[in-house]
Order: sequence, then structure tokens, then C-alpha cells
Amino acid sequence: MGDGAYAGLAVWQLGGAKPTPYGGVLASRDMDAPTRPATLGVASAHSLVTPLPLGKARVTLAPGRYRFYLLAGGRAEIRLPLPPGATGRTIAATKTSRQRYSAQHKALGPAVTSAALRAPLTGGAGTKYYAFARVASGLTEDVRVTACLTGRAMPCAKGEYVTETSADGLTYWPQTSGVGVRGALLRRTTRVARAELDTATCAGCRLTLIVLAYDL
Amino acid sequence: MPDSLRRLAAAAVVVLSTLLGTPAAADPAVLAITGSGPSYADVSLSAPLMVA
Repeated sequence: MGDGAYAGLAVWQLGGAKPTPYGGVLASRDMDAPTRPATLGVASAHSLVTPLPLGKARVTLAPGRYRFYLLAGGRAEIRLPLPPGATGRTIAATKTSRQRYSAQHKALGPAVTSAALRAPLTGGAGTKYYAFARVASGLTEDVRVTACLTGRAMPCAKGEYVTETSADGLTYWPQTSGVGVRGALLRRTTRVARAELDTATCAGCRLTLIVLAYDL
Repeated sequence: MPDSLRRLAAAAVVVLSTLLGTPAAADPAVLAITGSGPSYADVSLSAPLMVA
């Protein structure tokens, strides 16, 4: 983590016709306290999120050229474990990148069983977006939280990029969903990032929507 | 080696270290990416690199 609101890493392989995403990780003070990393996935066109390996399991970067994006609101250091016996290395991210970060929260009353948050997306053809939905509560039951990138007034169920998690009544950890999308698709229509919560009971719940955008 | 060549060699090492990353002294089993604010680094790998 660092001294900003968020810190993370996104890795892209260069050299091909298009940059190839290797996913990444992101931790945010708006999502968790204490913070814990969430895996960044990237959606392919017209398909659901395909989580990429970085942050999920060991992944081998083949020889080649890579761009390491430091996703950070302040000073940050991201540490990726290397295999035992490997030589540690430090990469300094010194080239400035354009990033936008926003967080919204909504506290739910005891009788509320569904809620949504939305954030309009603005960017260019090379802009990448990550949207996270998270619900935090001391007691939850039958909670489903969904994050999506969708049309202006469309629910997540009709969005092109949807991911969701479900929890049973025994789950006390906050649930999270994350989704990323290539910005070129935004040229077709206006889109929004959306977080949805459906629950039978969620005492003292707080729904959070986080959007992070950066230009590749 | 003449001083000029020695200085040139030292400069080349600095450039290569900047491009490829410098050895992390504190933790030998970590790939650390550091910076201040939104930023990026381009890295060329000449051998496979396994990370978690």
C-alpha cells in the first residue's frame, strides 16, 4: 500500500499488435480497512470477465517487453513474491500516467433490500476502466453484490460486462466484484459503472462503488 | 582503463539498471514496483520471470 487512497499494479505485455493484459491487483482504503488486494480482471468484447492470473496464482512472464502501471494516489510500493532463491528486484515507475479514481458509498437502512450506485465513464479509446462493488457489514444474509459496465439507464443484468459474487448467511466478510473493459468500446455509446446490491437482510450495510481509469 | 572509458562504463551500468531494474537489497525474494502517484515503467525481460 502507500500513502494515497489506493495502490495497485496493472501489467501489460507490449510488442504485439495490441498490448496484452496480465491483470493486476488493487487495494483501496475505500474498500477495506485494513486494506487487502483485489484481483483485477479484464473483459474481452461481449463476454463476461475473465480473471487474469496475476494476483490469483503464480504466473510466468515470458521474455519480452512489459509496461508496469503503478496505480497509486500517492507514494506506493507494490511487492510481488518471487520464487525462493530468486534475486529480488526493484522497478521504479517514473513516467507519469493519467489516472482517475472515484469512490461512492451508500448506507442502507435496516429495511432496505436492494440498492445501486452509478458513475459515468469518460475517457478516450485507450482508457482502461476497473469497477468494483463491495458491501461491508457486520451481519449479512443472502447477499449478492454486482459490478458492471453498462448503458446509461440499464441495470447490470443487461450490461455487457458483469461480474457478481454471492454469499450465504454465514459469510461475514465483505464481498467484492471487479470488472475491467477496453475503452475503445466507449465510442459507441455512453456507459456507466454500476454497483448493485440485493439482499434478504443486511443490517448496517454500506454499498461502495469504486472506479479506476487509466490511459494505456 | 582510461578514466573516460571508466566513466562511460559506469554510465552504461546506470542506464541498464534503470531500464531493467536494480537489485532489491532489503528482500531478495520480492519484485518491488515503486513510485509516487500514477506512473509506469517499461521493462524488458530477457528471461522468464515468475511472480505471484
